Amino acid sequence: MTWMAGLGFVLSAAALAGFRLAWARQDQARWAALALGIALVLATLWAWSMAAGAEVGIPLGITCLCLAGYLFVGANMEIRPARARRVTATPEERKPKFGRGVVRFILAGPLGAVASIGIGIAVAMQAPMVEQTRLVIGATLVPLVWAGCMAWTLCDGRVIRSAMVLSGTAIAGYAVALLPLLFKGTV
Amino acid sequence: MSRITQNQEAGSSFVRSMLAGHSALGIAFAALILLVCFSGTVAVFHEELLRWEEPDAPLVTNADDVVIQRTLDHIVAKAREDQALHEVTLRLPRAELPRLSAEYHDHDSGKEAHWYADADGNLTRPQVEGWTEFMRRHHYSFHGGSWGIYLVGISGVALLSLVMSGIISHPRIFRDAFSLRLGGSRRLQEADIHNRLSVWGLPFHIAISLSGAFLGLAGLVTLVLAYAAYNGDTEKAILAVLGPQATEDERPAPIPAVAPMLAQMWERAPDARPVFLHIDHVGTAGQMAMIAAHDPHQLAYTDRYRFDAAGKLIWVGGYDKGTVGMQTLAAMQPLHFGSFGGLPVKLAYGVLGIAICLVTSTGITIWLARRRDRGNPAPHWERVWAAIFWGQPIAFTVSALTALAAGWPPIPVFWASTLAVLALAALRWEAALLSFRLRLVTALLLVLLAVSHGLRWQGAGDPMMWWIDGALLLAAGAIGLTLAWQWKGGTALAQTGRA
Repeated sequence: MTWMAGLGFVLSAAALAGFRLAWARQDQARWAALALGIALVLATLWAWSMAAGAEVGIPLGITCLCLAGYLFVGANMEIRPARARRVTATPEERKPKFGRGVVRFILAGPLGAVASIGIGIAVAMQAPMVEQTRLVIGATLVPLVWAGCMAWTLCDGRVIRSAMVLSGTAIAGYAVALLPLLFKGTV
Repeated sequence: MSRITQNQEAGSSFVRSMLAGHSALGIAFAALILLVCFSGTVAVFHEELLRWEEPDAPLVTNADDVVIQRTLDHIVAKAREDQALHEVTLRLPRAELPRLSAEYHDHDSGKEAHWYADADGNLTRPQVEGWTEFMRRHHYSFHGGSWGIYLVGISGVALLSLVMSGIISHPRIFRDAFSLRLGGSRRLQEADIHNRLSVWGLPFHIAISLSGAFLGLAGLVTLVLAYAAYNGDTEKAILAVLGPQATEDERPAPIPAVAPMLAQMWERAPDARPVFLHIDHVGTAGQMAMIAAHDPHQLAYTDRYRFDAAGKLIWVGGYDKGTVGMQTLAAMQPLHFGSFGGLPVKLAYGVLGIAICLVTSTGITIWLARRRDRGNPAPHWERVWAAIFWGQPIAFTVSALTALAAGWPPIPVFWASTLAVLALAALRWEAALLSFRLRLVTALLLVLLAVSHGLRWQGAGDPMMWWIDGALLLAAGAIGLTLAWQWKGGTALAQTGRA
């Protein structure tokens, strides 16, 4: 087990070396290096799974790859001489408007929460899974969908469009959850 | 206009819009996310800190069924003496926390007590609910009850949303995956740190934000889902996920013996090691015992085994080998706190936790640097952000120092220190100077904490205290190095905010 864990470390470093090579090359060889890096990532996960079992080994392997990534970035660090500050052109920011800000907050916060809970309820009630799985997956989807709604609302330049998408998501979620019960006459 | 140009413009406009949304969300939630992430990074080591805080508590590496039974008998007797026998919990020794402790709690009277036991199961001394517990609860809820937990959960949603918008709004994020240019342009330097730490920590960021949001909002979401899916019958939902609970049958009954319950558990899971034993409604016909046990080959922190009033196994959680739902539920906590691979994984989570604090900080400093580059600087916000960032290690260290040295309550000390550091932003020091001084204070406080703790507990038996004191000195040394580097003017780091 110990040597398989050691192999996991070595393979994760090799995977990052593959990615580093792909990043540095501009020719066709970059695709081969990229493919090698991906293959070595899979090999890393396999080695860790052998060392600690798949359930613990895969998160261990992924954690190891994250740290290896930081090490490779650190090794590639470039120190430049200090440069005097000067006024430069930077990407334009969206001009803040109070009214739009309030609407976006309502969309990203309460409406996003309502929409995501709708999806969660739909899965918890209607997904073709066993009861416990339906409940837990439904509950897990709530923060995931809410985060998606939040990102969408704040990034979409058109407030009306994002309002319609969120409302549509909410309506769809509750409809999927409740309509079958209406047809059965249990609501 | 050609179609390619139109597509490029549309793409550029989309990215710009995404970037604007990413910035707005980041600015709105940065302080909250930083508070949660910093306390979370410290909370990863709560078991080690518990040992550090009370290094004189008895070290117990193993407890067999006889010792567990004896500890149970002693804590039940204590609870009876205190007229507070309602529920008892025994926390059994593990490699990460070689302590045997027992506690009782009575909902009606609010009475409770926590004790350490020795290797023979005798209760030796009360457990201090001190700084480590403060720090753990601070991360869970800011000591704000259910609303605090929801607030922490919402910060997880915001972080997850930032991860999503961050990936989409940085089309070059993978193409620049290895570039780290320090010095030169301030904005470029901060953007490089932000993007590199983000892209290589991405799986970790997704895991902790999703699991954190889930854990924070679980109470609320379960209530809503249970209301919808079970017509308001939340007990039925709890039964489906958490298994049968103790009932209100108050007739006296003997407490089930430990050994037969452990034997039934080991029949199902021979490799599992019991982590804690909990008995609810102790000594009544409605009592329910639960053993939580860890299998080293499973991601779940523990699986749960429930026993009826007679000590017969009636329910197994299935966290280890049950349904997809139960295994997903059980994976949330270990993935969030890095408790699935011993100390090496905790150390890795420590590094990744510091990285996410830096990602949060650089997000704000990029925005501040961009304002400066546009000729529209915000020096007050630069000072405020430096004070918020360095206020956290200072407040944690001051609260630990005063709690250990004088027994002061950590909550008011923590918030008073945070506000005091924030008040320094009102002084018209340049942000870089404020940041430099706050780092210096942090380093000095860390040294003071390590030295005073080492001197106070030099005769104590737990070697973990020396490791933690050493780590504190190491952290102080690392901060000192950055100060020396900046003092020598080696780089152009630190014109605004954090650095």
